[in-house]
Amino acid sequence: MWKYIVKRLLLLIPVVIGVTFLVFVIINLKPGDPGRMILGISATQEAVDEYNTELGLDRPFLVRYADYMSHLVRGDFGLSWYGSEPVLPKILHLYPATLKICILAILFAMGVGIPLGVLSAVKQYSLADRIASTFAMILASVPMFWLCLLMTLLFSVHLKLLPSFGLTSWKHYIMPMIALGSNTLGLSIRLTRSSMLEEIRQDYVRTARAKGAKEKTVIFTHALRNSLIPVVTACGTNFSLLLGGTVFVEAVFAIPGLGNFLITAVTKKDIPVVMGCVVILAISVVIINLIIDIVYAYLDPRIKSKYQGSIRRRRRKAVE
Amino acid sequence: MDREETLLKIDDLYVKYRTVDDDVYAVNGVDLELKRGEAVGIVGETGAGKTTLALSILGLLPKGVGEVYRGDIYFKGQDLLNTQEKKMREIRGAQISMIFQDPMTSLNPVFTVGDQIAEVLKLHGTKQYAREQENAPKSDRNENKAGMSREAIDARVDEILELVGIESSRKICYPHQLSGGMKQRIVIAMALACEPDLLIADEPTTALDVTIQSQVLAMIDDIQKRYNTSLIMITHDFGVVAETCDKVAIMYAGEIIEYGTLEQIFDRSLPHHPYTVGLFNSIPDLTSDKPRLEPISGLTPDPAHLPEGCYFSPRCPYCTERCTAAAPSVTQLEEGHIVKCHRFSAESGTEGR
Amino acid sequence: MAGKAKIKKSRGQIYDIWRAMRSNKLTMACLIFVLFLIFLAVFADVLFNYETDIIAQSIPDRLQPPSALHWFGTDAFGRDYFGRVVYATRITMIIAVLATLGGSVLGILIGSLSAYYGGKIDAAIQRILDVIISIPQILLIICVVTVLGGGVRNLIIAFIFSMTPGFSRVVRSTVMVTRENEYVEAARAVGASDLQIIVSHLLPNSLGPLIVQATMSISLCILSTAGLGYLGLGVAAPQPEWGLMLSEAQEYMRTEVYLILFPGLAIVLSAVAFNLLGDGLRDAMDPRLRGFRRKKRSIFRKRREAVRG
Repeated sequence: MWKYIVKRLLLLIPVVIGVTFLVFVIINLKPGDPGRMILGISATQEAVDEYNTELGLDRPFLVRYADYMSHLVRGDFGLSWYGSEPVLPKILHLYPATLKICILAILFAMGVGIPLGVLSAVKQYSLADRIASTFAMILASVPMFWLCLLMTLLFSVHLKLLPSFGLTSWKHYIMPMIALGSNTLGLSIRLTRSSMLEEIRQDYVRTARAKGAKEKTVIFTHALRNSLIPVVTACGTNFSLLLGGTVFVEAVFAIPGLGNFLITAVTKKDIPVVMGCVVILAISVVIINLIIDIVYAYLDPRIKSKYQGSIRRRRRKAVE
Repeated sequence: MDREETLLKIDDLYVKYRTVDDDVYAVNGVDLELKRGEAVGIVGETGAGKTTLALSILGLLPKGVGEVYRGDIYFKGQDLLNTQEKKMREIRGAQISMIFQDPMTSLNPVFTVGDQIAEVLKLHGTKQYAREQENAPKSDRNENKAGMSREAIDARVDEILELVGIESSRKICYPHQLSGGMKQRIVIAMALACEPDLLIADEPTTALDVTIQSQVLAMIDDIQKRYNTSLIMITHDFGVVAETCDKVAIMYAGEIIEYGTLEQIFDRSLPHHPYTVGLFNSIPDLTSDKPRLEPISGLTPDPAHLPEGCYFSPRCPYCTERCTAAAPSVTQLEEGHIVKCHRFSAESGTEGR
Repeated sequence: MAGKAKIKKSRGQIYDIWRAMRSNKLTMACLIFVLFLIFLAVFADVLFNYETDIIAQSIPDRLQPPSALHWFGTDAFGRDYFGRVVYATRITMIIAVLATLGGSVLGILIGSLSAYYGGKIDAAIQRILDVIISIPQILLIICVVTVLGGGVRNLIIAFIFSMTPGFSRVVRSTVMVTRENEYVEAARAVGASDLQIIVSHLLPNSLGPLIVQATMSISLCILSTAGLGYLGLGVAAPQPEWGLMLSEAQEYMRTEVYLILFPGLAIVLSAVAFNLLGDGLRDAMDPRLRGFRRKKRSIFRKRREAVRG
């Protein structure tokens, strides 16, 4: 298992190279004129050119990329083009808030969604099922920022229960968590329901019943464990959606996080900052996926034996 | 067998499945009696209602769809159809257990096979264990009402695995790590772990290859004799029946159309239901010189639209007007050998072949 | 089955799917709503004059609540909100449908090749997709859009780029599963070519998940378009677009609630309609469920297994 984790972590290297390259390519598809943008219209052309040279923009694309990467491996994410602030400390300062909201959101989504999904499947076509399914369907289709606006209107403006911006007390986390988790909640209800319905038709469930197991055991021990496999995978891939969603939630609630920082940088075409944010977020996604894969292997032994010593498996095959 | 005690009695059982389009009549008036230690084979084509019969004994007909609408099932004198679900759970797996047709899908893929066998033991414990508990001094008794201790369960899992011919070290394997034959052995081990009084084997060898088939059959036969377990062997294969059973019931369209001892059914000099004759004619006989097989023409009737009169009449070579008009009643040919066919019923002057 | 037994004759797969779909009222309602959205998208130009009805400002009429004249009221520039909400359908639908089509075609291509050939080709493709997938989708879109600029065409390009990996993963995983099935082995044994096997055995099994993915993608596109509009990175003002309208309305939301209500509802309704339509289609295409009323569908398989046993 450890070997596998190390192997997966090593795989981060090509992913980081790929991500940086991809973002570099995208951003350089249409290189702007940062010198002109930063110095303003009144600056002389010489000053602008000099500034661009200083940023190293006169060099060919690949050279710039190599240069960026050589700094990156030393932990140097470069300086912001505006204000010359180092990128990495700023990111590390803003990231915890963003990550906290995301983790809260996914816990909220799975914690509420899986029980509701199971209930829906077990009581298929009951009133509870209809309500949960409708709820899930709507949640999966609500734009996060709109939900933020509606919640602000209700809880902050009218009921005056929750603060509408900033991130200082635990109360500040509630609305961002719900808004950010809403889509994932809808998804996890729907997925749990459908995979649970699939599983309770399986033969092994009948076997469990024939053993004299209680219906509760049949559902929660036998069927649930199998039906969680796709749910966990989907929620894992959704984590990336959540990280992206922080852009909206942080914008509406004026949360000082990575999402807000990134959007500001994107609109200003502050390339070192954009690159830095995207690299950090991409690394997070890869690590989250690794965690999900480990959980997945725990849930599904068929996967586990795939990467646990192929030799042992071969030997076993030979015996058979 | 040792005791002529009736273990299972099925009385005039009718089962239908309700679907939106039609009602599907899967079992239509089955009578069956099974003594302790006896092995009865239920033979019939696909769709004859064999599995439905088995599921109704266990009370596992799909809820809201499958329904016993007439008849009774008694197990050790207990009316199974009117037993509470909680009591039924105590019977399932412990006193009546079932071996399912497809070992590939009958095991839960996410648990080790050892755990899956242990589950039955955790639920019910073994008989021997219960006896030990009764005899043990009060202070030694396991307080845990659920039953056996971990060690006892472990030991029993090892024992039962050895019994079905699998090294006990394999109990930590997951189903996908085992071959089909081994999985079926696990399924059998699960069914036998609590030493049930009645074992229902639903085509236990259909999914296996021939060499494994005979091993598995020999094993079931051996265990059945050893524990004096009653056996219902559901199959479409007369070979399987010949190997394991004492009595044979031929099932067609939800009815038992012929029933007798193994010798009575297999003795081709005796009179038989035309369907039975057809079945035997469609398997190769190495002792006679017949140039070709004679399969029964036509197909099993759609259980949603059963024909009038005798269900076999559309395919029967001896079909008369009487056959399409009224359903035949049971005729006893000799002691223990009954048949449901107009050719043998009393009103008819002409005896069969 | 026996000669006299009546078995409803199948009149082709499409007909069967249609018949199953028709019996599901919710799906039909969604289908009608989706057709209505498409109708609005196609005929928005005929229903409204873009220059005079949609973008012409009239300051004296600003911020009027809903009335008989202005069903959804007017916005901060005195423009009829109903017209703008309806016209925005056109822009959103064009983006969502074209992007999903592009993404699914590319996804099928990449996914089936990757799964069928496996080995090094698969590994290489998967690594590339890993890279794209490890960037949160909306950030990728944001990157592409900031570089190329907003506007319908660039949004479509950005969406296709970001959705293709998802589609190919779906196709790949279902093909991988079905590839192991015995009937594929059987097809290979009777000499079917790789292409034949992919097209006639593997892809049909991916169709269900693919359609679910496609409908989810359409609603995701609707949501993303609105999101980008809200952030000011998508469709540019004064064009009507739901997200953009919401961001313009935010300033007034404390007093003029209707301004954030109608565009938001439009987004939710259209996204829900596509999601539900996808669900209905998936159910209708599943032959295990087909021909049985919703109420009884889950047990159909059990019943059949039991009867056959």
